Amino acid sequence: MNRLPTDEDRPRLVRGVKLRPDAARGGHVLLAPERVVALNPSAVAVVERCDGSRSLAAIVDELAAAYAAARTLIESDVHALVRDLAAKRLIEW
Amino acid sequence: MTPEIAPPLGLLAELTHRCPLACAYCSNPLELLGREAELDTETWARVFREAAAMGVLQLHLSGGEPASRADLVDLVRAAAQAGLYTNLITSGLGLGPSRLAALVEAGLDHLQLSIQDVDEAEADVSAGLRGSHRKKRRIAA
Repeated sequence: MNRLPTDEDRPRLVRGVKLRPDAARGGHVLLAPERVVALNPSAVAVVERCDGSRSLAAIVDELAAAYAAARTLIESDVHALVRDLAAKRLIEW
Repeated sequence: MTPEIAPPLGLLAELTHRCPLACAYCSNPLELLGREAELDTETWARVFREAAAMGVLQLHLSGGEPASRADLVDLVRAAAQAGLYTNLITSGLGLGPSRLAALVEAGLDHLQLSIQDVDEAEADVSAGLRGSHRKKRRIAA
């Protein structure tokens, strides 16, 4: 299990995990060994930025700008999602 | 009113019934279809494309021993091109380092290596082939 992420950590998909559009059902899914995780649009916006090059702080900044929302609100949502996906071994840093 | 049937998430493809092992518990203990009756590469590729279009997201390549198919790398490439998340279920027999590398290059996402027992002698009894456990350990390394 990862330690809690800091602002400087650069989250990325775990090896073997893929983000794909799901043409038949709509939306996007994370595909992992014997698992399919359907993502809502907000989660997709976060996960597609978890590319190993952006820091968590940069991801929060981008989303706060893109959605014209309060940074503190975006920050708590992003951290909660990243921690949740890390617990499912889909994201690491 | 006919209830709507949701499209399947996964496809289990039994590529062949050939296998070098003879595991006592196997659900395909016999060569149910001979090599000449197996679907060819292009037919499987079409099945993969049709499955993906239907909504299948994950493909499990099984058998028999899927590595007994000479065209396994081509089949994995076809599955990857169809956009399927591709999993190989194998005993490892028939996979060396170069073929493994070719499978990864072709787009294999995941590999499941079957192990019959942690004890070598017991494992070989279960698999019906002496020396099979040692080969599996070599492939896992």
